[in-house]
Order: sequence, then C-alpha cells, then structure tokens
Amino acid sequence: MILQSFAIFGLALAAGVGLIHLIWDSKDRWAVALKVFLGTGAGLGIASCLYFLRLLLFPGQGGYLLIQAGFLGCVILALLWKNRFSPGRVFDRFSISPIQVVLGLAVVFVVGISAYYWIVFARIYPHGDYDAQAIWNLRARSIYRSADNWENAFSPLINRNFHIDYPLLIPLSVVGGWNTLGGEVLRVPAVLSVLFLFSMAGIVFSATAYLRSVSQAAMAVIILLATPTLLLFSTFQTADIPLTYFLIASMSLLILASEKNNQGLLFLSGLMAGLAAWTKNEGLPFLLIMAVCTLFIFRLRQTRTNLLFLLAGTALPLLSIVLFKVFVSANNDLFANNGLPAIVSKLFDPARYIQISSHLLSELIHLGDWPFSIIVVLFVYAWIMGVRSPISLAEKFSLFIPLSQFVIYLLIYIITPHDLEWHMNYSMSRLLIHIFPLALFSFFLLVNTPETVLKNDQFLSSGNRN
Amino acid sequence: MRNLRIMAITSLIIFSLFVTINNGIRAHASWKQDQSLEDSVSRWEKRVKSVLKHVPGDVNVLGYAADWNIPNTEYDLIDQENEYTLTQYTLAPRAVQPGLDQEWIIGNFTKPGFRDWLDENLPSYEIIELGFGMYLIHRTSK
Repeated sequence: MILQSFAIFGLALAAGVGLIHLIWDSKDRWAVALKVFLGTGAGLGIASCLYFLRLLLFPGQGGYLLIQAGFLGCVILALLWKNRFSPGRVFDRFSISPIQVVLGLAVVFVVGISAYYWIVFARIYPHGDYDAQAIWNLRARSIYRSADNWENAFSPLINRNFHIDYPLLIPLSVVGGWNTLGGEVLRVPAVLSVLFLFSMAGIVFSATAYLRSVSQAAMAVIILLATPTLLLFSTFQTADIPLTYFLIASMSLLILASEKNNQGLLFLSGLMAGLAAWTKNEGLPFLLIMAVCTLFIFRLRQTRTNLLFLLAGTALPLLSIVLFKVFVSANNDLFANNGLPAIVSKLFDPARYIQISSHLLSELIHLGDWPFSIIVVLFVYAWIMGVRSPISLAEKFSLFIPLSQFVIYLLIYIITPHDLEWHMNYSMSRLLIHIFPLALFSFFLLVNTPETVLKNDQFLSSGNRN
Repeated sequence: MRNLRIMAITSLIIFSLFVTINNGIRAHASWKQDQSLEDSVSRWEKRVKSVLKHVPGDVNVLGYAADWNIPNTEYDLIDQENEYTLTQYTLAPRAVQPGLDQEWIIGNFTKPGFRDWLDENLPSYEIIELGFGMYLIHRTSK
C-alpha cells in the first residue's frame, strides 16, 4: 500500500516539476535538482487548490487523479510549445573532489538513517501525533466520510479546539489520495509528510549547491537531517513540515530571483509563499514578509513590476484561501474572545515578555533536541570559518526573513488568549522548527564554504562556484 | 588557521553523524519494543466504534461526558483531553460535544460514582455498557 500511496501523487509531482521547468529555464545540474524538489510542493499544492475549487463547484469528491492528469497535460503542452524538452548540461561530465566524495557518502548515510527513522515511526504511529488526530487527519476524515455533504466537516457544532479555520492543503491532498485509492489508507498522510521532509532537504541541498558549493550544501543537509526534532515532527503527520518546506522554497526562490534578476523565479516564490498560507495560518504573515522583502531587494529595479510578479504567483492559493475563509467563516482561536483592549494590555505587560524570554532561552538551548546546543556549535563554526564577503542584498535578507517570522511568532505569544505557559509548551518547539531550516540555509549562505577557505588545498577544492 | 578550519569542518560532520547514529539507534529500539503491539489510537478506535452499532444513522452530533465532569474526581487532564480528541477523531464526521445536552451521549468513566452524577443531571436515561469504561447514554426525556 505504501507504493500506491506514493504513486497516487505521481502525476501532481511530475506536473509540479514541469511547471517549475516551464518558468525557470536553467539547465545547470543543481538548478535541475532544485526544480525536482520544488516541483513536489508546487505540484501537490496546486493540485489541492484545484481540488478545492472542484469540490466547491461540483457534487461528489472524485476526480483528484483527473485534476492531476489535467494539470500535467497542460504543463506538457506548454513545455512542448516553449520547446523545453532539451536535456541541456545536466548529464555533462563534471569533476568531483575527494572531500565531496566523503561528504556525499555522509549525506547518503544521513538520508538513509532518516528514511529508516521515518519508516519505523510511521509504522509505530500510523495515525500521527495529537495534532494530526485533532486537526489535520480529523479534517481529512470528516471531509472524506461526509461524501457529497463534505461541507459538514466545517460544522460550527464541531468543538472550536479542533481549529476548523485551518487551511486545507494537507487535508485535501489526503482526501484526494483516499478517493483515488478507494479507502482511508493510513499511509497517505505519512507519505505526504515524508515527501515534504525529503523535498525540503533537497531544496536546502540543491539551492546551497547552486548558490555556493556542493560541500557547503552537504554540510547544510547533514545538519538539517540529523536534527532529531525535525525528524520526529516529520512523523507527526501535521502541517508543520509542509509549511517549513514552502517557507524555504519561497525564500530560496526569492534569493535566486534577485541573483538572476528573473521575474519568473519571483512568480514561483510568490506561489510557494501562497501555498505556505494555504498550508497553515502561519504562512499568512510570511506572505507579507516576502512582499516587504521584494520591495526592499528590488528597490531600484522596477519595484512595482517585481511585486506584481510575486503577487501573481500567490493568486491561486490566495483565491483558495479567500473562498475557504468565506465558506467556513470560522474565527481563529487566537482572535476570538481576545478583543483589542485585552491585546493592548498584554502588549504592555512586562511579565509576559519575561516569561516568554525565559521559555525561549530554554527552547533555543535545546533547539532541535541536539545533545549540545546547535546554535553554539554553529556560532563557533562560523567564527572559525569566517563570514563570506561580499554578500548580496538578497542574501542579507535571507537572515531578515526567518528573523521576521520569528518576531511574529513571539508577538503571537504576547497576545495569545490561551494560558501563556501552556501555549508555549504546546507549540514553541514546533514553531522554532519552522524557522530552523531557513536560518540554516541563511547560515550556510553567509559562512565561507570549505572550498573557499581551503582553496589552496587540492584535496578540498574542485567544482565549486565560490 | 587552515588546520583549525579543517578541524571545524571535521568536528561538525562527526558531531552530526554521531547524532544521526543516535537517531537510528532510537528508531531501532522503538521498533523492537513496539513491533508486536497495536498502536494506541487504533485500540481506542475499536473501543469507541462500538457506539455506532447502537446509535441511529441520522445522528450527527453526540454528547460526551467523562471523569472530568464529575465533581471531586481526580483525573489526568492530558489523558482526558486526548481521549476526547480520539473519540472525535474516531466518530468523524459526527460532531462530539462535551456535555449532556445531546440525546446520545458517550460516557468515558473510570471512577465509581458516575452513575450518581448522571442521576443528578439527567431526569431519565438508558445506559449501555460497551466495555473498557465506555458507555452509551440515551436521554429518554428532555
């Protein structure tokens, strides 16, 4: 059943890869790898938006496979029209240094162990974690079991604790998969989780390799996939890992768009940011951050046009979100029973800031559940390796993006109507994991690569850009 | 400086590989421990699903009462919350609302004294014992 659970998303994945290739015509080998990993989210995300529109417009729940096939068919036609099927330089011969071989083997080892970890926990906890049962898989079940009356899944009679206002990328992908397979196959949400986990790692690897070097990319992905909490959350079947995927996809595309002065990449960055918001509400402030960053990064280069490209990318996911919010009309738990006077009073309460700082410090020390603080380790590493110079404006903004998202999360804690300690215990480690891959990617963009700092050593240097 | 940088790169990789191996060991230990056991959610589903044999098909909302409702009873709030969540998860798309307002109510009681509490709060009702502390309560008057 597990292979079938992968296969049902095959057409969407192929369509996603094709769409990225259609918009970004780079034939560099790392660009091609990046397109494959970006295609996962683009394909699944667009398919879920189209499936939602289909549910709104027509009775029944069938047709997920047909939507994927239609999407793929359109992409293939567009690729043929644009003559984008030439193989390019992907399979050209390339040199590889011994250090890259060693690091490559380490990456293979880490990926292998991560896959084993996921398989074990997917079998032990086939229903995922608490949040999967309370929100994501509950929503999928409710929609799937309601058949023609799927809108009952958003009945106001359902307890507010089950967050019926949360967006639908993950639940609808699961429902689409179940309708295709003809039953509630537990492996479907698990397969989605693993697709997003490894595609996220793939984006970090290929974007770093494209912008910096293969060794630097290997270092980044080894640390990412070694992070115990990240692996654990990937088995939870919640929307946290898919959200993280879309955040890193959007951020890396914005940097690439600036580096290459390519508006197509900006469109894709907008698409990914929009899909982040269609995955989880935390994606909405991220969308705003990306718009602001676009304004600053492209300040002298046709700001209005560039912003329009970014916003054009968000169109389909935003349309889905607006229709969903109108359709469900449920208040978010953070703002229901939390009026303006209460929010203002919390904003000026120093005790809350102290409580949050103290909790945050503990969370940051134990970030990712590494046996020794990974922040300290990376800080020392950066100090020894040195910071790269010069750094482009977009790369500088790569630090601002996770930092802004982090600040927004802290603001939410300040104004939360829930018991603050409970809310932080319940969610802070997950929220920090949203940001960790972004921060790690920024870190390896800013720190000198092994090739650069050791460029006189023949053992270490070969095939690098920087 | 170059030697220091080589050490930094090597140490970071070794540290990461050490944690990776630890992840693998943890997964392997969990696998060996739980290989023969059914997961707790599936077990809970089997208990709760029996409710549906007794409830008419057109009932879309069920009530839910548990130890947390009974005054002066000790309970673990997290366990109670999890069990309520799993009950809703199992019975979806039906809504499961905490309280005694619905005609059909799921009871999840592990402590004695719940019948006295039901007698005090429901004028008349029928109760079916489903096992494992699960009950189906049918209000026979408003």
